[in-house]
Amino acid sequence: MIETLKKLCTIPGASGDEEKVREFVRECVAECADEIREDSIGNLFVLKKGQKRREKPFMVCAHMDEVGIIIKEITSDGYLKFDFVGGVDRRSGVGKRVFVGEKGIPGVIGMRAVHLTTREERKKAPKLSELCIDIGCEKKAKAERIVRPGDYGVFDSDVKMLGEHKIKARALDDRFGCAVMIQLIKEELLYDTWFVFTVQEEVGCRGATVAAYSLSPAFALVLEGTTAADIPSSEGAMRVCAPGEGAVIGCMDGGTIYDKKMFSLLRGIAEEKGIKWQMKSRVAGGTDASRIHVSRGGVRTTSLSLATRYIHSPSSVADVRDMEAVLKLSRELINCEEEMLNA
Amino acid sequence: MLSITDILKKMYTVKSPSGFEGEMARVIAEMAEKAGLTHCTDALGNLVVRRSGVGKRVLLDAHMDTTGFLATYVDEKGFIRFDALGGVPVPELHNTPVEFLDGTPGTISYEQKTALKDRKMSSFFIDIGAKDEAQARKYVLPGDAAVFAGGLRELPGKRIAAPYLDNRIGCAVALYTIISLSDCDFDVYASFSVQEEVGCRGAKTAAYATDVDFAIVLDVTDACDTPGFDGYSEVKMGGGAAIKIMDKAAIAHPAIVSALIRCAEENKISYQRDVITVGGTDAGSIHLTRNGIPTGGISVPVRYMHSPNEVADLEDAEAAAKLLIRALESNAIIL
Repeated sequence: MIETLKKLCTIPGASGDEEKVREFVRECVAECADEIREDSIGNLFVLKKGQKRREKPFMVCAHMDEVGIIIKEITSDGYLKFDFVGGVDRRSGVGKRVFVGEKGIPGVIGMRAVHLTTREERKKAPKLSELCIDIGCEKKAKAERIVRPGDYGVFDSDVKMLGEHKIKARALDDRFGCAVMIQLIKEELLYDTWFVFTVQEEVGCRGATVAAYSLSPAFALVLEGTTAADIPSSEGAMRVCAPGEGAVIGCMDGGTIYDKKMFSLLRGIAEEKGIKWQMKSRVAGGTDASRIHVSRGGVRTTSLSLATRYIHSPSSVADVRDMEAVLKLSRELINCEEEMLNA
Repeated sequence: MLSITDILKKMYTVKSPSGFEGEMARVIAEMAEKAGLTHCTDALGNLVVRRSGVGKRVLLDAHMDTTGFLATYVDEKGFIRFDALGGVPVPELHNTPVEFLDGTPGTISYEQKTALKDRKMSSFFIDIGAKDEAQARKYVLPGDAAVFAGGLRELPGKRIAAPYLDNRIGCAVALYTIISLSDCDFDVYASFSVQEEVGCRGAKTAAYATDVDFAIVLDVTDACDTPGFDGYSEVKMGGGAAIKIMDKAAIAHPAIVSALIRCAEENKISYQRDVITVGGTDAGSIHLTRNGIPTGGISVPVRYMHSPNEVADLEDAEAAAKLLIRALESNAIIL
């Protein structure tokens, strides 16, 4: 699973540009899936048959897209003006290496050097108009041959293990969820389960909106990366959650109050099986669950998340042991007897 | 038969912050059952009560959740950090008595170092009187919910004060109406919806599942008649049923608005025209469900919205119920 994740985190896939991720997932699951289909927006649905069938589908989902860059304009002197796709702190962009366009042209996000900025300017996050991408082209015409407005880009960030258990990469949110799902599809399951690799989560959970509608599940499990802030500048509740402390079971976030019975069920399983789990100490962020749980007549929805530091930056950090905890808990939940889920 | 006051009193025996509406659903279902009505609950916890009829299908929606507080963290001294369930008046929360769902009492206080104007949700905590973290955790765990303490108080005339008249008074109007309807062709569903205060989430699934021809939302609206209130509408407490024309999230269907106004005038029921550009109701979710549901609303004016002491006039609630009953029984709403 970790090897699959490492590969997934090198594939570019900003919201709306998920094709390469989708093709990789398709290859990974081709041999063990019982049905694979894609919808008009680009969600990938994978059915894995088990020994039994549920009355209505159980949907597990993770999003394929990541935050990134979209090119808006090429200047006369060959720089690229751009905007971020999804929630990116502009402060984390300055000086970073990026890949842009279909061919993955290398570039850097530049702005005026510290010597040339005023004290006032340095107090604030740079405006987008102060930033540009430099791909080393002197002329607009030359740049246009390799990059066009509308092309996407992502941060250039390799995958590395930090210390014994920590992994550093971009897009751990939510390639980790994709890796867990690929692993589960390769296993033998007790019940038929639909795994949905969604698109456009980072721009407003759009893929999940239509995926939940078309699948019309009774239950949903959302696998996500979530905000860990266990860093020296945060104390107490402001630390939110921490890598190494286990799978994060969803209680409430900015978009969803998660199903209480499924929360208790997951907590019970975690405690019985000795799987480490934690809760977030702040109500923040949102996931695909925000759209899924209110789909049609309502879907009982829960989430398992990976505590991820510096999420949405070029270098996010998480703990591989937490990934294993999420995998174990997900496996237990989707194999749960129908009566247990309905209890 | 139950009066609106009887229903309200029953509702004030339980707590129902967003996401924790189970007990309230049970209390309402019990009253509906005694009146011979059927009911069911959906995946999100919406309670849908039905009074079958041969005519068009109509949804009466009233959200049964209230705002509240969700414990997120217990610190080493036993103080509880929390976040809001819905829109709570953040800078005014200090020294407010609260109660967790199991009855554990507490007081909201704030970090003394933070100036009043700078107070955010993270400046506040709940003190349950625990001596340390271990003792606090015996009473409260992250994920537990609390609400403002205090019940229903009767004021002069037919006026009342309580936290959470938003929207228990709307629920009382809805339940009273569906119980009282006698000669009515409409196939009536009353949804006591969950999670309105966090974004009108319950009404989405209730409206989808009931698949009705039109909907009327029973909720509250700001009474703008107190001293110094630079009000944004003409609505007054005691001024009658407030017929929704527009709120921030929905424009009421014009045929429903005119039918309700005509019905009120013909039956000499006091009413007022409700136009607000701040705040929305479940109508915002319902009217956009499926291929569009014509939706209107009748609201009860409430003073000091979302505070621990909301004030309303029961005569406005009675007018709202009377208007709704007459409109349904006389087939006044034709779309």
